[in-house]
Amino acid sequence: MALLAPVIAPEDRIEVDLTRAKLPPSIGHMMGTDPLGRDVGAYIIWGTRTSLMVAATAVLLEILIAVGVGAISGYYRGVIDDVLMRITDVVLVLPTLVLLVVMVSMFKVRSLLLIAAAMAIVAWPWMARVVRSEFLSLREQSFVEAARSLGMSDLLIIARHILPNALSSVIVLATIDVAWFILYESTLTFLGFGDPSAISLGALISKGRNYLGTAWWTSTFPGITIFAVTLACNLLGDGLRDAFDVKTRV
Amino acid sequence: MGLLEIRALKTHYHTVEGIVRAVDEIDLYVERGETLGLVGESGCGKSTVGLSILRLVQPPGRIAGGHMIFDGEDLLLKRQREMEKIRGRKISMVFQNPMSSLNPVFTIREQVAEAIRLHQDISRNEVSSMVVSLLERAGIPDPWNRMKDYPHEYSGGMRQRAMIAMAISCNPLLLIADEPTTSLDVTIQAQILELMKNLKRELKMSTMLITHDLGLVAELCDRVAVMYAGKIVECSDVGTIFKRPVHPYTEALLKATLTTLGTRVREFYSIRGFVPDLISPPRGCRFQPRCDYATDLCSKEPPEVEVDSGHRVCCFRAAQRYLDEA
Repeated sequence: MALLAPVIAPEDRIEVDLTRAKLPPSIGHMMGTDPLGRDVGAYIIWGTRTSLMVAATAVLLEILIAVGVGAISGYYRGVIDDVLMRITDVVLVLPTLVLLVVMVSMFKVRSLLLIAAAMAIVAWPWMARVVRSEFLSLREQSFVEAARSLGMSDLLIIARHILPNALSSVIVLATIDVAWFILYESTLTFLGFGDPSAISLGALISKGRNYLGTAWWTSTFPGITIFAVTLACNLLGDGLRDAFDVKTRV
Repeated sequence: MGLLEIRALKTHYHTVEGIVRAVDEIDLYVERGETLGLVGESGCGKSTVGLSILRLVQPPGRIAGGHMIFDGEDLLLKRQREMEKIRGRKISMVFQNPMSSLNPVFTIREQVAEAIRLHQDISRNEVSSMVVSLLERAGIPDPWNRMKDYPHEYSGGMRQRAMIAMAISCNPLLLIADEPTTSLDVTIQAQILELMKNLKRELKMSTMLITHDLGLVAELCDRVAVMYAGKIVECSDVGTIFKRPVHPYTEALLKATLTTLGTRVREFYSIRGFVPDLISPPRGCRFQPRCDYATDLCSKEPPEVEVDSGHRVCCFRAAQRYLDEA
């Protein structure tokens, strides 16, 4: 629904109109309006879109890094594995939120892409570890040995035989991470480290916070949305995992 | 000259406890079109020989020396890239555990097709019909429909058939079958045995059958090499091994096999003692601690004698007898 924002949430709804400021939820404005007369419902649809986009970008970047590192580590083992795993450990022990804030504040211009990249950087070690452990166990499977005996190169074996088998856990982790990224992005924005020009769910909550006493709807509805989107991502992950398991296919 | 000639091959596993000499300077050859049985008990290094030929020994294992002349070229001098072109095309392998040798996320069709396309330039349309004919040859009923199945929808025997189909997809010169029937139940074993006999006749490829099942050897092989603790102790044609074994280990191995010929088995013969530790094997003849005929002489490295043409044995006792006769 959020993808259709430009269609279902007309621009004029989020324009400033002081005549309809701080209206409680009604038929015209189902989630009420904010202190500048903007429709909260329409705003949420736009905000969800931004949040999802940032989270999706971050997850894609995360998968790219994590699968790369995890695959090399798990497949080749040895020294290269040790080096890569120590690097992951280092990133892993740093407190996530602090690292995020530091990275984001290092740059003068805060774009959504930058935030996505920063989130991918703090999150990849978790996934890399899972990918590595999957690879470690899969590489010992006899179908990998059989593939080798048929004359397949390492790259082909990784891409064709091991990765597809490791994919289901990557997907599940990815969907959980989408949920986390939405929360992280909201947290960052809430703390004032977000992209000031973007409307995201976190921005909505943070702006509405000041009016919590007089216009509760401005913060509450974006909050509920975060909850709902997060839940949806997790359910999607479960569904995808079932869909990827050939044994449940008819 | 034979298709494959192995000389002084050494494959070692470097473990924390020490170097395991799984294959210790063995000599072996396979002629074109013949089936060689490599027999021995668990842990004697016979599977390692198979993996060594394909250069697939994984760390901590390492081929420590020797020569493997295959079709005129030394496999040990090849780069990995060149080996990838040989594996599956000229030498292919069938493994012991069909239950896990197929990738669970792809259909049988996809996997057999992959094996074909890896080495042969064949258009997509033709691949399908090739897959069907290969599966048919391997004895899979109704291949048009069954090839769309995933491995878990196949039984163990069917999976082994699919593996064999993949292994013969490029008409290899040598097929290494590592205990192809061990994990299957008896009736399926007989079927796979029948299949391998037929393929042997049809394809005229050389086969190295790695097994501990002497019945399988008797049915399928032309020649047999008996392996004990990393060494080949006796090598001969199949008839001689069964009728006139010379090495005490071969003799004991045959005695330990249940036969239906005797009226009743009173007591099941078993070789006393255990397989020696390959990190520090017994000095001299490795079978000496378990051998009924061992003498003081046996603590020295046994000589290899050719007691008959093509019948080689590593044993002092055999050498003595041979000299006496001569």
